[in-house]
This record gives sequence, structure tokens and C-alpha cells, in this order.
Amino acid sequence: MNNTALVRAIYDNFNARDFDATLALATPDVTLTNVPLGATLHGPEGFRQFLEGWATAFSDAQVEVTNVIDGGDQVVVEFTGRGTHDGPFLTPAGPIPGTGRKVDVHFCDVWTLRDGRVATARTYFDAATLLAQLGVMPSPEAATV
Amino acid sequence: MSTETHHALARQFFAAQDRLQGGPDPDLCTAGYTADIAGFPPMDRAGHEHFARMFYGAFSGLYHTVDGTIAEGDQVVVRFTLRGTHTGDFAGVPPTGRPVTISAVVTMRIADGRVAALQGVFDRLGLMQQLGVIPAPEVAP
Repeated sequence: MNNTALVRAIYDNFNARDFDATLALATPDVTLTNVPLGATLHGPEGFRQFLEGWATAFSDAQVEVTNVIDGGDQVVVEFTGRGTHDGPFLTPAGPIPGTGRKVDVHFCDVWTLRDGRVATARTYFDAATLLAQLGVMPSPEAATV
Repeated sequence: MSTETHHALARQFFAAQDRLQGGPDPDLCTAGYTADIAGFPPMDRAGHEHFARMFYGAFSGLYHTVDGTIAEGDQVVVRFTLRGTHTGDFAGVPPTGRPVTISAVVTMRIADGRVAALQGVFDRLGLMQQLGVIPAPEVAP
């Protein structure tokens, strides 16, 4: 499996909620960093927690990959995540209980690969937009520029 | 144009912004340049320059550190960190004197040796939290 196919499989697996298939594609010391929330999770259990965290907060969540840039040992995936916030969304300030709101957010994941597996991920997204869509923060227009 | 050249162009793009205290440098952009930054309406080059000048005006010593570049075909991705000090009015927030660190990632599409399109995400929430103007999310009891 080439790097693009390997990384793309992670998004297909997410949509199918097949987290075991994704963990089989990761190194034992894999790390996942949520850049805007400033949280890093480690190892396969951390990876599972990362995936389940999104799936718990947004039980119908689906991701749509819109762009892949394969730079060899690094692969970047841009995607749109959509779902209904019907479970607790964990943030450093505490969990936000389900609001029933629908979200539609652009993400950019930067993966590094080692020995044919994913070793690190950095997830970038505009948390201000996400929180505004959840109705727990003033709209970005009001709050920022 | 090789991907090696694209890595260099991407670095040049941000170095030029820091030099111009605004930008992007028209010499590095195609005529039809567009910027799409999450949370903001799409901008043309002049719009992006207005946006950038607002940041350079509000944060003294603002500069980009490129943390990594990734290229394939006509695209190059840049991870970078912006650092500066909040010494001017920013979107209605009076100067706080606080240092800020903002993480960002952009994807650029290159055409004819210039940047034709930029799509980016920066940590807007983190910035407003560092300025102390956005409290932690309201968590229902």
C-alpha cells in the first residue's frame, strides 16, 4: 500500500467506525496532536481515544477527504468533517454536552510515516468556528475580525 | 518547476510578508491569486494584504517561523508559527502587551512559479484566548 492509500484508509475506516483497522496502520509509538486544543495522545490506545472522542461527540460523523498531498514520508490530508453533536465533546475546559447542533468544519491533518505506518499526526482546524457552530461561543464575526 | 523550487517559494512567501509587514508580495503571486482562511470570507491578493496589515499593525515584531514544508506536484503545504506582541488595537481589542504564539498550516497551489491559491487554518481560538478576550467555552452545568 502506498502512503496516500494508507493514509486515505484511515478516513474510510473512520466513516466505517473500524478503529482496529486504523490502529493496525500505526506505529506502536504513534502520537496524535490536536493543535488548536493543545492536546497530544500517545500510542495505539491514545489513537483509539482520539478517534472515539470524535465519534462519541458526533455519532453520525462522516469525513470527506478533499485533498491529499503526498510528500513522501509526510502526507497532508485536507478534509471536511460533518456531524451532529449528540455526545460529550472533550475540551481542555471540560466536556461540552451534546447540543444537537450540526457542524461542518474544515480540517488539515499532517501525517508522518515510518516503516510503512503512520507515526505522528497533527490535526489543524478552526476551533473557533467549531465552537461557534455548537453555539457555545460568540460567532467568529462578533468575537474576532 | 520542481517540488524543490516550491519548498523555496513557500519560505520566500512568508519571509516577504515579514519584510513587507503585510503582503503577500505581488511578485510571488499570480494575478488571480486567492486566499481562503478558515473563519473568513475568501480574499483576493489585495484583501489578503489588508488582512495581513491588520496583524502586523496590531502585533509588533510579528514574524513567521516555518516549521516544515511538504510538496507534491503543484502543491506545497507549510506548517508555521507566528509570534509577536500585542501592542496595537486588534479587531477592537485594545493592546494587552501580551506575547502571542499562533500555529497555522496552509496549502498553496503553484502556477508559473507563483502562488495561485492559498488555503489556510490558524489557531484563531488560541489567539483570542491568549489575548484574554475569549473565555473558556461555556460548559452547561
